[in-house]
Amino acid sequence: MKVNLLFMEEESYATGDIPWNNKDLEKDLDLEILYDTMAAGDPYIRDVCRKTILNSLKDRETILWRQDVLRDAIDNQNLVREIYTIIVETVNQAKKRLFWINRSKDPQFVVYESVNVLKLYVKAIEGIREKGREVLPLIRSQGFRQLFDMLINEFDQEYLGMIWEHLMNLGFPRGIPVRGGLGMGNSLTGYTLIVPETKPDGIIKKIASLRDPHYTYVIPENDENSARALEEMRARSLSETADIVRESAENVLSFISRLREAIAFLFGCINLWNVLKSIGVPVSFPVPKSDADGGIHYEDLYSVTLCLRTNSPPVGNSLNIQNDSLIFITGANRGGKSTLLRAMGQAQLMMQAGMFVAAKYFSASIASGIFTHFKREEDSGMTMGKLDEELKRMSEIIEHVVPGSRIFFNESFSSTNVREGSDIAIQVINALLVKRMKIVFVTHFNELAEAYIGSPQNPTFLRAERLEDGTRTFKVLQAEPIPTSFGYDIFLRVFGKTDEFNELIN
Amino acid sequence: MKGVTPGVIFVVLKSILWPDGENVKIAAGDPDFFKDLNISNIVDGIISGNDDYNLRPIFRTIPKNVDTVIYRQEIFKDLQNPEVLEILKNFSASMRTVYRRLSGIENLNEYQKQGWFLDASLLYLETMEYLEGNLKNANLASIGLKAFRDYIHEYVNSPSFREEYAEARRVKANLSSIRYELTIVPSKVTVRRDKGKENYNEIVRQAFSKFRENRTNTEKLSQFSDYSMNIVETEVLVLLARLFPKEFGELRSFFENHKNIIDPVVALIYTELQFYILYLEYISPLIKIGLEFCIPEITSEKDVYCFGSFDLALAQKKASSGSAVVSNDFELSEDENVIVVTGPNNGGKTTFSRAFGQAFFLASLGLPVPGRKARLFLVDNIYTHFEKSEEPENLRGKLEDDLMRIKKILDSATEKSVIIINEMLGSTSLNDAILIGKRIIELIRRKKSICVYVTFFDELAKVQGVVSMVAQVDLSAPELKTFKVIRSEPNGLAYARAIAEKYGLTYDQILRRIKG
Repeated sequence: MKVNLLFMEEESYATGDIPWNNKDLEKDLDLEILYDTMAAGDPYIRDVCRKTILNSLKDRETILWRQDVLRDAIDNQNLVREIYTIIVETVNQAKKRLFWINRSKDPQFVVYESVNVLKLYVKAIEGIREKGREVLPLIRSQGFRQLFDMLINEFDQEYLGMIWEHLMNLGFPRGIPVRGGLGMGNSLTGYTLIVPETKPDGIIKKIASLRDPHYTYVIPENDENSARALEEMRARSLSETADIVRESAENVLSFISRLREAIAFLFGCINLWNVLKSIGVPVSFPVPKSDADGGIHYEDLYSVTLCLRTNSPPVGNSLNIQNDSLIFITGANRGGKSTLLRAMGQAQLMMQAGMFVAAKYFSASIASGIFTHFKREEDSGMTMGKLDEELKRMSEIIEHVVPGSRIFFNESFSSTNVREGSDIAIQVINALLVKRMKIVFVTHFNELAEAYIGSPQNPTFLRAERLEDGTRTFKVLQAEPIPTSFGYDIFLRVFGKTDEFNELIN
Repeated sequence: MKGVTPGVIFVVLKSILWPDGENVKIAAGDPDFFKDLNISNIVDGIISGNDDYNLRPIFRTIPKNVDTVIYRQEIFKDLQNPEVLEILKNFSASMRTVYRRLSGIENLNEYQKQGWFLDASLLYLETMEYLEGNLKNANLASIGLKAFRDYIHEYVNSPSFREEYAEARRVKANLSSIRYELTIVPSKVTVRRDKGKENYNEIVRQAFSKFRENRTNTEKLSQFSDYSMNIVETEVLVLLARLFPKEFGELRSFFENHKNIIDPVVALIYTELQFYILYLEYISPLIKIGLEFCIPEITSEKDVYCFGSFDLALAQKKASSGSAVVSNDFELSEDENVIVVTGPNNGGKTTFSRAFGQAFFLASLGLPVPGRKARLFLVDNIYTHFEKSEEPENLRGKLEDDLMRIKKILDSATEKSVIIINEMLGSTSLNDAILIGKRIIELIRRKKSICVYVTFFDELAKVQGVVSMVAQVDLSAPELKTFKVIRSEPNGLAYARAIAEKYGLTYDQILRRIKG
């Protein structure tokens, strides 16, 4: 049984794997709050959205396939919610039972509970099928259509019958005798099974047995804990009997799990969509381009995570350029450089997850890989200096990068001085461009950006705007770098108030 | 209550951490500098797995009084004698087991509770007797440990202690000889005295063996941990007590007559002792590989030094991976207070600054410090500013943030403070960074706080009145750092390119490395 909602062919379903650079992407592109918003408190949805976003799609057809499914989901939000509710309730109930199945050492219990779990899942699948029947006329995406067609045809009762048969055949009614002594803290120790009585005792033995002093503890009725304790004791001798029934149940369970995964992602997207709509920011389905030379075009692009953090519409930026192989972002501190970089990275990732993006319009070529290289604080691992740490991360990127990737740099190589840092950056940038990478580079090393003015690489320069009076507009516009970062005026503002300081500089 | 009446002991002993007179105000959270100086790692390493002692607050609290520092240093001097250390370590290990046995017994059924109490008591009494015998001949000089020895001697030789001990041994021997048989059926358990039947486990396993074939992931039984009891077993124990009334009667009587068996002073000293023992255990692997530690001279002046200093946290890490630890010297005379450290990246600048801060911190707690000889003062606080990565939550500029933090530090620091600043101003342009850095150094010069300022701007090392120290490189192979930081003029050498080559990041290397 296939679930082709997020992929055209389930064989390629790969949300289990997370790319090697996930930690960098998440930290650098500030993805945690995105996940949180999508999850809306559901840790499972969070996990699925995380994996799906990090596992970028590389082909246009699958992106469009998923966009179609997502459009259906957004247009039929109740369908997604109801299916998810059914699955979650079922899984929760089944989990409680699975908890005991996986911990129980009693074969009768394992068989009995496995059958119960199986029943729950059959019921869930029937429920989903009915929901599908209701909305089928409204469904446009092939993904949802295939799913509902399949549900009607492919489920049968074969596993159930098999499980029931096992249940009939298995039973362990015998009591168990053990011998023991007293250990530390009067614990019952040396606890080993001894040969049980199998035949009725002879009359003499019976009398001897009755005269032999003994006491009996009877488990109170309906006392679950005692029953489990007793089962634990029996399990020592009996537990090697059965896992087969559980295994056959697990095959049926895998289908529902995969469906749950796909629905969870769609649910997450719906949550995000609704939050962004309520803030009143533009949201659109992006236009992915297979052609690497198509340039980049965005209108009112903003950082989705900044928007979520501030719960208000951030400043949007627009750009329409043919040449997007090398983009430098320079300009004033606190001017919105990093925010725009993040917005571009986020949009690229979301586009390649088949999602909508945080912009009025967004179109870019599909990257064969998405990488970030942001400046970091001193590593607490202590084995490396900052530059080493940066270069090591860069080297790892080189190790994994494939031509056609998009790499987002933020103040890279600035843990050394301007001259050295620029020198390293130029070598890296030039080599990456030869290998057909696309680079967006935020730097306060104006010296670095300036080196590319008029160069054959044909770079695009963006600059964070700063008005005459020093106000930052957070607009990042096409403009060449200027050689100052306005740092000293901030210094004066912070320190200017102390008498001691005024005395010093006067 | 039987046991030792506090009144019969004449030795006065209150604490081996805080001598009389020190008014202790224990710090509530980790000080800000813990993380930057890797002191968090050090403290974690010292106390890991020893949360019960609640030692972290002790490490957070810098004493105000020099006498406290000296009092602790003296105890450390006694503990340099391996025999003394061994005695107190054995004592601690046994006490730890005693407490483990006692923990949570209130929640157990009475026979279990009494059983655990008996086993804990037995071990405690044995431990005390053993400790007394060992301390008798130990060579002690510190006020703290000598008082402890006298206390234990009086305690162990009291008549009530002797009686307790004899009774505990007798009760245990009788319980250990018990054997019984249980019969478990789905709803009940029957107990009787044991009659020696054959083991049945193997037979049952054999009977079901065909079900196990061709299966993977067969879960193994979780073995009963030796001393854990489920609720049915607990009920069974009650029946066993009826089946063996004499043995269990003796047990109850012991329990009821000796409830507060652990002496409160012993309990306190045991906990405080861990401050010393755990620190020594933490540094002992380093001493084994030849690193030196010393008990520093505590001065009230500002001329300080430490020869052979190293970053303790880093040394721990290196020692476990078998690589060499580089040590450095520092020395400041009365009128010097700011060291500016420059030199190549990854050349040991940050490590030097951490070692510097750690030395003052450790010395102020009365602990031995890394180094072969040291003279340091008791600090009132340590302030650090290490560059943090950009936090997207923070919508204010990073530079402004950095400067606000520096200003806060300058507002609080005194002549008795240590300030460590590490490569800030990376977020602004070159000229701004140098200008701002100079201003800050000038301000610290005026404050007279002791400061280490790590930077890659040579210009800052040329500010008048600062001590310039430079991370050294081997000139014949510039990519190899010696990690030595010594007093000298800044040299302005560039090594970034050599490092880039080391990581395969030159233009040619990248072209070769990327396929396609």
